[in-house]
Amino acid sequence: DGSSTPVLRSAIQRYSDIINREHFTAPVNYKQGVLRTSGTFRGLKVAVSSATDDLQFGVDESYELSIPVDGEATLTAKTPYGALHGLETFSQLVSANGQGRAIQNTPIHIRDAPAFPHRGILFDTARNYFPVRAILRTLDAMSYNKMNVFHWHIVDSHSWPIQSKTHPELQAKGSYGPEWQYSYQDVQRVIQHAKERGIRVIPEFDVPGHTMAIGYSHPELMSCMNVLPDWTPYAADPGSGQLNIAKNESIALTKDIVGEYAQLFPDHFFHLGGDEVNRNCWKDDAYVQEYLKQHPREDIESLLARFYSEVHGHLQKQGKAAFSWEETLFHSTYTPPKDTVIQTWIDETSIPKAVARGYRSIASPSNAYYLDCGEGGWYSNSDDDSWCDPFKTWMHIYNFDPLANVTDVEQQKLVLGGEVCVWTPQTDEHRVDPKIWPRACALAETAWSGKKDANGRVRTTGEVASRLHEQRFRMVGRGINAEPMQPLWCARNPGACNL
Amino acid sequence: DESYTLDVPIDGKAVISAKTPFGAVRGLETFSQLITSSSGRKVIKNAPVKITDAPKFSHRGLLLDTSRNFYHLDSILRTLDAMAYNKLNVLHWHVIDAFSWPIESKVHPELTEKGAYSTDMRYSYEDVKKIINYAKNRAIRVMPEFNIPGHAFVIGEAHPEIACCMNKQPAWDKYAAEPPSGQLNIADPRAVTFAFDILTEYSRLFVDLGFHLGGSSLNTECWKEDPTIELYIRDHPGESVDSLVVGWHSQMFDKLNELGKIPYSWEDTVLHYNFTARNTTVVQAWIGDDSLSKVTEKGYRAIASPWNMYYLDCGQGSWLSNFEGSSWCDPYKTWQQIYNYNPLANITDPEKQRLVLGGEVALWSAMSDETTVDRYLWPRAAAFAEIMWSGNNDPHTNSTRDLRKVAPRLIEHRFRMVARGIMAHPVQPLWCVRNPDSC
Repeated sequence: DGSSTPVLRSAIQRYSDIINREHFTAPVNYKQGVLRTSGTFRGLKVAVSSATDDLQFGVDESYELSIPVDGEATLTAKTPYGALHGLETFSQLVSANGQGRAIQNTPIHIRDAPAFPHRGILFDTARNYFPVRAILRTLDAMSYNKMNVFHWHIVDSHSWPIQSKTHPELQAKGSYGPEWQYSYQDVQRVIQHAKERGIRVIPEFDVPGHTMAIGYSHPELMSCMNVLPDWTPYAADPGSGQLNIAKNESIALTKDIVGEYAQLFPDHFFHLGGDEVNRNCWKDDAYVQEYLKQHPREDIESLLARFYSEVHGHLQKQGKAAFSWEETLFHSTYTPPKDTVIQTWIDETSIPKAVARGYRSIASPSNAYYLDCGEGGWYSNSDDDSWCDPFKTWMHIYNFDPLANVTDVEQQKLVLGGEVCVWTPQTDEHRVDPKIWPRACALAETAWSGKKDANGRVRTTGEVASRLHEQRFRMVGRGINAEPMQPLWCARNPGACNL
Repeated sequence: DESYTLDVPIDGKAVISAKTPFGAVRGLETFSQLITSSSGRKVIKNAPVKITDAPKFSHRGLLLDTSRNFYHLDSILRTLDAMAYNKLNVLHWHVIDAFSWPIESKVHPELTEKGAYSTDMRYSYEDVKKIINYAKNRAIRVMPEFNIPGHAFVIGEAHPEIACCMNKQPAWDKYAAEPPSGQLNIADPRAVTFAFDILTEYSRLFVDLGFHLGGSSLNTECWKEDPTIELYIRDHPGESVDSLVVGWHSQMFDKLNELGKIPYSWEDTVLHYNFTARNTTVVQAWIGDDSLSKVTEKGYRAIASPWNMYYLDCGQGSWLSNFEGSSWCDPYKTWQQIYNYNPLANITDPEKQRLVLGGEVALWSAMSDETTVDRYLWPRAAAFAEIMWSGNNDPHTNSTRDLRKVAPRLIEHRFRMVARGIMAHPVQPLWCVRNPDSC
C-alpha cells in the first residue's frame, strides 16, 4: 500500500524469506508445547507514505505495527526505513508452534521510534582484512538489531585495502595483497547492501596519524616511518608513521583522498579521524625541524591546525560534514566546524565536555564499548594485558549511560548515540561474529529504547538477560555465530543465574 | 611410545620410523608441516632434514566441558583434528555436570530423558564410539569425567530422592560454586548404588584405562543442612560431613579399581580431605601455584592444569545476569603467558618431577559452544602443546625460548590450522606477521 520503492520492495521480500524459513522457539519456552491459537494471520499490509529511498542522518525511522487477534496486520511508516524496522520487529514476534508458527499475546499494538539516531558499529578492516562476505553478514546482523550506522574504519597504519583511482599506488603498495583489497565494486556492494537494511556507511580516512600504510607508496611524505626497535615514543601501537604535516604535498594527497572518497561514499558525513596524533614524531623529524627553523612564527601545533583547517575545509567544499575523534577538539589548537560530530573514546568526561562546547557527539568509550579488549596484549615478546583490558561484558555495555553527567536538556540533545568498536589486531573473519554478537545487541537496545522502561525505571541486566538470550539464539538461527552468554540451563531458567 | 625419526633426503624417498603407530602419526604430522607451497608447487625446504623426536610429557591434554553448553558431534571431531595438528594426546571429556546430562545411559535412561537439553543435544553410544575411534586414529585417548558427588543438580532432576540442596535460590552461593546447586546425598546408600551403576556403565563404554571421578568444589553447607545427613551424623557420633566424603571417595575409588580402571581426580579429593588413594591414582592440580608440588609430595602422579594459566574460558567477565564484574578466574590467559609458564617451576626434586605426567588446558563452557570453540582453543592450546611436547627451554641458550622467536612459528601454525578448517583466532595484525620483530 502507499508508495513502493526499491528498498521497501527488497525489504518485504527479504523478511518474507526470513519469516518463512525461521522456525524459532525462545530457549525459555523450550517446554511450551503446542499452543492453541484463537485466530488466523491473514497477511501484513505495509503502508509507507514517503516516495523516496533517501538514507541520510535524521531519516524518520518510526513505525506503527498492529496485529489483531484474527485477520490482517498493518505496518505503517513515514519512510521505507521505518518500515524496515517494523518488519524486523514483526519477524521477532513470530515463533514456532508445533509444525506451524504463531504470534502470541495478540492483539499487539506497537508505536516505536529510536531514542538515538546514531546506533553504530566501528569496523576496522586495516589491521586485518575482512572479505566482503564477512562485512555483508555483519550488516545483516546489524539489521536484526535495528543498528543503522556502519562506521567503516577502512584504512590505518597496517594496511590500505581500498582501491584508489586517483592514487592507485596506495593500494598497490599499501594493501596486504591483491586478494586483500576492496575494489570500487566491493565498496558499492557494501553500501547497497547496507542501504537495503537502513544502514548508513560512514567511511573513515584517519589522518594525519595512523598513516604508515601511505608511507609504503609515499615514503617522502612521512615522518617517523616504522621506527624500530623502539616505536613507543612515536606511536600508540607498533607500525609508527604519520603524514609529514610540514609538507604541502601531504596536504595535497590528503585532499585528493578526501575528494575521491567523498564521491564514492554517498553519506553526508565523512570521518576524518584525528586520534592519537603523536607530537614526538614531528619534533624528531629533520625536515620539520628545518622547516620550523625557517618559519620561527610557526610551531607543531600551528602546523597541525593548518593541516586540519585545509582538510576540513576541503571536505566542506565537497558538501559534506565531518566526524572527528575527540583529540581534534580537545588536543589541538584547531576549532572544528560547528557541524562536526565529535566521536569520544577516552573516558566518561569526554561526552559532557564535547556537548558543553556545543558539538554533536557520539559515545564510544574505550572502557565500555571497545569490543576488542580482554584478550591480553598482542605484542610478541610481552605477556602483559592490553591497554584496554578487561573484556567488556554485555552487562557492562548495557549499563553504560551516554547521558550520564550531561544534565542540561539542550546538551543532551547533542548526544546523537553511540558505537561499539571492533578493532581487529586479533580478529579476522574467522572470529568476528562471536566477537561482536551478542554484545553489540546491548548497545543496540539502549540506543534504540534508551535505558528506562515505560515506567521510567532503569532496566537491570538481570531482567534483560532472558530477552538477550532469545535474540542470541534467533541470530544463530539466522546464520550469525553469536557467542553463548551463559549455560543453556540459565537461558531456560531466567533469574536462576543471578549473583 | 610416541617417538619417531624422520629422514628427508635432498632427493628421493623420505623415511619415518617409529616403535608404535602412534609415533608414526606424530611423525606424519611433522612431515606435513615441512611441506610448503612455492609458486604453485609443493616443496620441502632445508633438506636434508633429520629429526629425532619424542614428547617431554606423556599426558598432553585438553578438557572440554559439554554440559554447560552442548557441542554437536562435528565440532568435537574437528577439535580432535586440531589436537592432532598439535600432537595433543588426551581429550579429557567433561561430559556431564550440574547443567545437563547429554550422554546416553542404557542403565538409567531417565538421566538423558530429564537431563539432556533436547533430543537433538545428546551423545548416543554410537556418537561416543565414533569419537573414541576418531580420536584413536589420531593417537588421542578419550578420558571421560563423571564429576560426582558434587555438581549433581541434573542427576537430582531424575532422582530427587538421592540429592541435596537442589537449586537453592536466590542464595545458591551458600550451597554451590555456581547455580544451580545440588549434590548427591553421600549418606544415602541408594546414592552409592546409583554412582556404582554410572561407573560400571561408562567404564565399559569408554575403553581408556583412565577414568576421571571429578571431586572438585564440594560444598559442605549443602550436606550440613540436609535433614537426613544431620540425622545420620547424630546417629553416628564421630562422623562428620568430611568423614562421609572420605567414605564416599573410598567406595568410588575401590569400585573403579575393581573395574580395572585408574582413577583420576581433582586435587580437592586428596588435598582438602583426609583421603588417601592408591598411588596409581592420578591427581589433577588446578587451584594454586603450589598444588602440583603438594600433590607430588604425597606421592601421587599428577597433571597440571592451574586455572590461572590454563583455563582458556577466563577473561569474558562474569556470566551471572545481574552482575557486570569479572569472573573468578579473569583475566584472559594470553598465549604469551601460557608459553612462558613452566608447570614444573615449583618442583625441585627430580623424583617428584617425574611424577608429573603432563598437563591440560581447559575449556569450561559457560560462555562457549560450537560457535566459539575454535577461537577459544586455538592457537592458545598450540602454545600449550609445544610446552608439553618440547618444553619451553631452548637447549642452545639453556633459558626460556624468546617469545619473539616463538611468535612467528605460532602464527605460521595458526594460518596452517585455518587452512585446515580450524577457525583459530588471529594473533596480530597481518602486517606484524609479515614484519617479524616489528611488533
